[in-house]
Amino acid sequence: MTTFLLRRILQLVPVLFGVSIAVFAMIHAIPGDPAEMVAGIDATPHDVEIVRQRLGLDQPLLQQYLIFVGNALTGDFGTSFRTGLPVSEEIMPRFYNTMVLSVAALIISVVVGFVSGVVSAVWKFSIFDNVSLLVSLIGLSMPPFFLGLVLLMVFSVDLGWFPMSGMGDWRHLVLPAVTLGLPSGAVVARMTRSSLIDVLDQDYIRTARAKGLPEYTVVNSHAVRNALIPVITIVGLQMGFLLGGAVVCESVFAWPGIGRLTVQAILARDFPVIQASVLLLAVIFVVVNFLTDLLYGVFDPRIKVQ
Amino acid sequence: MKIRKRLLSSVVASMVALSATASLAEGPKSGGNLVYLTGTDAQTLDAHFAADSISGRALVLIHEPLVFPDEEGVAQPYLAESWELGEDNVTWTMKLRQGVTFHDGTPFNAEAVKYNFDRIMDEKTGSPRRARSLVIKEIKVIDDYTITFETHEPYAPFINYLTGYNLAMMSPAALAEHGDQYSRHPAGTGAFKLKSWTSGELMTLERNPDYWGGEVYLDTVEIKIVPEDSSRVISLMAGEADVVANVPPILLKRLQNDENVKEVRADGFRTMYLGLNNTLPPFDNRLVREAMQYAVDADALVKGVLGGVGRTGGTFFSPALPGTIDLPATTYDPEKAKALLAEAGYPDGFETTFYAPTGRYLMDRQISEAIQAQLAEVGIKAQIQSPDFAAFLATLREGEKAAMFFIGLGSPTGDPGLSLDGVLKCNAGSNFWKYCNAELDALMLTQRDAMDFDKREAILTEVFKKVREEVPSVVLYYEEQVFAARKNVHGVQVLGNEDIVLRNAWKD
Repeated sequence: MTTFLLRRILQLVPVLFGVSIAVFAMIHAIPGDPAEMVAGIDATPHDVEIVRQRLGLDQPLLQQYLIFVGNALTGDFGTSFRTGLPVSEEIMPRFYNTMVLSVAALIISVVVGFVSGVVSAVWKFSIFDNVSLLVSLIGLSMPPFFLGLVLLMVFSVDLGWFPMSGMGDWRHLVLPAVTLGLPSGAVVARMTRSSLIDVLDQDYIRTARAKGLPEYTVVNSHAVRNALIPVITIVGLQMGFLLGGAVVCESVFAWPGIGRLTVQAILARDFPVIQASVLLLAVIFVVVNFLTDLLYGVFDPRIKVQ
Repeated sequence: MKIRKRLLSSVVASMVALSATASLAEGPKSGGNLVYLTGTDAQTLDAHFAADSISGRALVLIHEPLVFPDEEGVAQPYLAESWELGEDNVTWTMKLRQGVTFHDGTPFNAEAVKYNFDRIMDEKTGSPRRARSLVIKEIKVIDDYTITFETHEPYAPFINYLTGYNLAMMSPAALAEHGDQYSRHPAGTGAFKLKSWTSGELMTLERNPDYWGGEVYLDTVEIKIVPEDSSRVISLMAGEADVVANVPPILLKRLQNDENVKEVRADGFRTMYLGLNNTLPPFDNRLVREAMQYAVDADALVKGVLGGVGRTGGTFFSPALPGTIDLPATTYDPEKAKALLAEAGYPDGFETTFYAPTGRYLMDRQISEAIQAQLAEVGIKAQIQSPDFAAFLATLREGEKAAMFFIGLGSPTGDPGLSLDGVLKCNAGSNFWKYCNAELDALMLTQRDAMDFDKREAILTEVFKKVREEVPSVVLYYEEQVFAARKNVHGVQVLGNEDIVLRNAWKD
């Protein structure tokens, strides 16, 4: 187990190096000059030059990369081009907010998706199954900003149950988490349903039923557990989607998360913030994949951690 | 209790709506928290590093410039009480207001003013707005409340130049202590002090009890960042916000139907252009540029796409800027456009690329598509390219690919003379049309040293008339600032440069 852990952590090193080189190459390849963006549209060429020097963008590319890597290794990701604040100060609070939102959305997605998936599989082609199919389809197809606005109109404006936007107590979290969690809950529901239907057709389920076990025990102890592996894979992938796909939801509900920060940084060519947030997201993806691998072993002892 | 309170306030609000005179007689009420929603957060509160109107808008709530523009945009005494130009036409002697202190207790005096100017002019500071301050040759402190500025040459826009947010006064003590982190610890002389600021989320300001300009009514101001246009408007209608910035035209109708909400408008300084690159064919031909002017129906853009928000005109800069004349807009005439195109040697029109940013200006995508359709009527096939703004700007500066583009230019200084220099002079920084005319350049130079107001206005008028004949690009319309507020909010003022003034604001 320890060696497994160590190996996975060591695997992070080439991943992060690769990501850092790719991001660095990409941000310098796209057109657009950060100094121009900082200096503004009505700056004189002289102003732009002064800004370029202050930001260190007049140095050769290789040197810029080495300076970045050297500082990053000591935990210093530089200062934001736009705000002049240390990048860690910009990113960490936003990252925390995104984690809160994503985890809440994941819980909604798993609970709603798993329960309705199981019910649909057990009573397949029932009214519930058909309604759940319809709802899943709508949930998957509806653009998140639209779902968000509809929820706002109904629950905030008309009913006044939840605040409109921003962060605060748990009530602020409900609508954005539902907006983000429902579409991925739809995926989980469909996956759970088809996986469980496959398992329920297996011979050993017939055996379990034949020996007179009540249906609840058959589904609960024999079927669900075996149907979980593909569901866990999907949930792991969904976590990545939730972290990265929260941008739109963050905008509608004015949730100050890392997705919006990264998009703004890209639009403003704020290189230090782009680099640091992409690296952070890469780390999270690796960690989530690692946790998914561990969970396989928990639910299916045949899959041994090596 | 809460419901009763809400009921009571709505009764008060409707009473006020019914009899505005009665509420005026009662006078402003003190206290309360004003929630103000805006789409984008400030990047910095350090005046010397702000290069976008959003940062400027936030920092002037805390800091104040030496002079302040009135509703006409003309500079009036503020932190400076009076000024005088010497016989030599280059030395300005300025008397400063006494008894003003910064939020950190540092006294406001001539030394503080000099400290601010020295900082922005110092190359080591690295200010993106240094260049314009270089017109100043020397600053001398005469006594505690008298200071002189000597410019290199006679410089008529000098006083207007001082109204800009980059020259809002910051406490020297706070600047010395915090250096490049001043933005988090600002200390100005304004009606409000910074209480807390979470980037991208919330900025809280509190009343400055020692404000020199009289009582500040609001206890606190909460500036919340709500990026989605519709979310902002819904919040206002639901009563969760008191004031919202930049209402999109498509939501204006809904707001107008809500009796608890009112609009706050101001003619903006920003002019929107159909930019034409004067060095690339076919736009190197003046006839073609003139044809473009007749081919675009700007009135239809404002009425049809912008829901009436904005106004058309024929002057190269918004007439809201002081010293700018108001020339009539060109009448839409596709037949004349076709005739001019034929005369220029393009009887069947031509094909061109049309660079248009998305999400930068009000309804920019819809406007560009409408222009594309209008141009097609006279045989011009425009292919729209929409890179993100940074790439758009890079393409424009490089000047080889973007023959035609949609762009807006504001005025960071509120002076047409300064804008002319930056936008129409050969090789100037924001001369995206690559327009170059030596004769016009010479004329523009003369307005800079025309110290007499009327004489300067006469020169500016001549410049604008000449520019109109030359058609460096097509003037589409001037932006209008549309904010909205709850009916129980009074005294909120919006300025042409997109600033919002809250020092006189109060709530019922």
